[in-house]
Amino acid sequence: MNIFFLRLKELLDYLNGCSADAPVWLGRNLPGWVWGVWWAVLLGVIALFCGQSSKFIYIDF
Amino acid sequence: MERRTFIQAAVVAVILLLGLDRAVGWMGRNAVPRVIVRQAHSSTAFTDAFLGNSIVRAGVSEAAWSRTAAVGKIPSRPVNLGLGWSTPAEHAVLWDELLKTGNHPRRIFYGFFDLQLQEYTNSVWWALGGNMAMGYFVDPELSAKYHAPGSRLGHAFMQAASHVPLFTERITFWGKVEELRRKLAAIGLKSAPSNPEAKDGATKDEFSAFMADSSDAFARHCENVVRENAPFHPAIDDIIESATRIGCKVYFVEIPMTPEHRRLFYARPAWTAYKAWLRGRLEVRHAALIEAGDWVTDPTEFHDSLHLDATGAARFTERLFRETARLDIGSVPSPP
Amino acid sequence: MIFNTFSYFLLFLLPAAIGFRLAAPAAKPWVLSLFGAAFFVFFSVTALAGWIGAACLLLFLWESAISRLYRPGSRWCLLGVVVAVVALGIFKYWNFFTGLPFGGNPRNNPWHWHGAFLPLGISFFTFEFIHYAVDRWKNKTVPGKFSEYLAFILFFPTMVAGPIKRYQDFLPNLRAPSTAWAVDGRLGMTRILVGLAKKFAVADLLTALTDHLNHDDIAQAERWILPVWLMAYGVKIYADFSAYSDIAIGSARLFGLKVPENFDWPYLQTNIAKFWTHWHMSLSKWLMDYVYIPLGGSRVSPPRIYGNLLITMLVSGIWHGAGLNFLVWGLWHGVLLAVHRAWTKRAGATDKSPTLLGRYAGWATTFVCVNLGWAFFVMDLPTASFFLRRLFLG
Repeated sequence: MNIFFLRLKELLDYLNGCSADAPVWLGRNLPGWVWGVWWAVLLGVIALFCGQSSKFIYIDF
Repeated sequence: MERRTFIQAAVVAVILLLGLDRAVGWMGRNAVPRVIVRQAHSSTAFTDAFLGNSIVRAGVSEAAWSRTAAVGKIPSRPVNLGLGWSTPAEHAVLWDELLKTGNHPRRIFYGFFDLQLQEYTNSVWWALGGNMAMGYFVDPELSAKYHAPGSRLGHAFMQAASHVPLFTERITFWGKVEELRRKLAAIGLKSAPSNPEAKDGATKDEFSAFMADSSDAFARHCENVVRENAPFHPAIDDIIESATRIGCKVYFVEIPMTPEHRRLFYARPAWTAYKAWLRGRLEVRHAALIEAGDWVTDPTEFHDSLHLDATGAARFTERLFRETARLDIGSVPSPP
Repeated sequence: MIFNTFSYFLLFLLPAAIGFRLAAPAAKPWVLSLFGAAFFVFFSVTALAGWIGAACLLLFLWESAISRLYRPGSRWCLLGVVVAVVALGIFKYWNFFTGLPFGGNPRNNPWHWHGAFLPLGISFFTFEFIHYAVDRWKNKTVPGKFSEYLAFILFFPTMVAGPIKRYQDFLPNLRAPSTAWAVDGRLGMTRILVGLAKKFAVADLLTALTDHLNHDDIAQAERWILPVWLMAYGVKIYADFSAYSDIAIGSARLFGLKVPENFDWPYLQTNIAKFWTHWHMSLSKWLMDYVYIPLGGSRVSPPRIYGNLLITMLVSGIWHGAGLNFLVWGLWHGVLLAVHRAWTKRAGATDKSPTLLGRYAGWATTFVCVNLGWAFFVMDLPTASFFLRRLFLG
């Protein structure tokens, strides 16, 4: 269970751009086209939701 | 290696984005503004056109209008071009689309409330949201005249944006997100009435520019408009001008408001003075004012604090037909 | 707004990143400084306090000028700290503190500053000013060149809301930035897109729930929804601020620069101390280094340690906002940290790794406590009290 969460966290950190290299258990870095698809998905989500945009909370701090 | 990965990623992302752009264009084919524009473009020879924002969309019943006309045996084909979350600029564009078909209605009814005819929204040409985004894809040239007056950059931007559905028609899916937001917001609260016309983005925010903070502030605002002889929104001027040029009678209709709204705002002498001033200004332009603010007295015939429900809309529309038929009896053809 | 505007990306980030990469090494700090100054002026004028806000660029110029006088043990360092704190105090806390004797009512406060405004990012750049002055005083960092220090304080991706940088970490980066543009581009781009998606799809969406955290809605809500609203705020503030940090870190990466991380799965932590080492990490570390340790840290008697924890979290609270609710929020976390410390000392739990059940219990307790604390963060004191009364007493 713990290993599952740990691996999930590593994968998410990798997909988040926090770490340059893929988790060891993944074997190799993701190919360029996967990153392209991932960026397109993110851009799609951004386009979908950006209509309600509001100020970042910490801007006022 | 990394360079190849990056370039590959960028190329794939751009291709997919182009695909998404086309998909959004396709998804937006039945967006509310497009449906209304299609209605305007239809081959039907409309006799009566209704313009305005969501209070017109919700408050005017084409069926009630036709029914009342049939009873009086007066030939009439109404078209409700009311569009939620819109400004006079969009109304002028819709009106222009109707005229482009060669269709010349006999009468046009522009529904308003409060000081809407003199107010400007804070929309900016690089970020027209909601149904106002129709400005980009229906007639960017005319829209730019109102949203980006005197700005070449604005004109160019609006023209260019018309080719990017992902930008111009994002309301297609924003509307769905907005629905989700409302559903989330309603959880755990006593059920709040929702305005069915608002589902495409028209909310009470639409009216924030027109809603005064208090009854006193509203009265002062009315007095200022009268004292300064405030001009109409340029789009309103254009609607009046183009309609009268083709011999179309123009009515400005004070849309019925809730008893609470009337008590707070319309009971003030300043509002009476405003309407007298408005009547004078309209008559000079060969247009007329119809004071229908108190035609629906039952608060249950309103969906929310601003919009009529189906019953209220039918009641108001029937009376509007009767009153204007009486006024226009000379110009209305006799029943067969 | 700022990070979720086209202006940020098109007028500042892309030109500055490209300019920085193309510039000669000696010109790189100047590229950052010029874009940083333009960024400060542009967003001050268009989004915040107008031209008067933009004039606060003088604070940076003053700081960069006086910083040239800082020497180990020098009184100039002290002056630098005092000026930074006074500037923050005036802009952020003037009305709060002068209003206290008058019950917080501006009408009764003869010293009330009606045109009060907050210069862009003052809460964050003040921390960097203080850090540099203190570290120079303690000789923990080299002075660097004038242009390098200016680039450090005017580095716009982190100027407005952090992460709070350290000069000794930034300087080597600035002198030898990464040249692997493809790796930086992939990581930076991904980070920025993830940040924007998190902000729009999670934080902004949850506003539908968190907007209800006001007296009227709390009064008419069904009771079961109240914890949902509060947890929604907990998720929202995490998504919002971590998204901001993602964009800042990703932006820096496009320059080939690394800035500190700010979040590391804080809501998965199993105790409050761990929470604070994973939440707003650059602030926690700053508070540790410049408040907690100077107070004596953990090397004093137990009562003083607890006192230090409370004072540190009170500083954190008041830094977050000029309001009694923020003080209570800070106090709440101070108490939680003190209780946690007492608990671990008493149970000797630090020596043993907790059982699975213990970890889940710790996680759940931490999660609930942190979320309860948000009540004081998001609502003023009377509203928060009313909320908690309704939540617990019905």
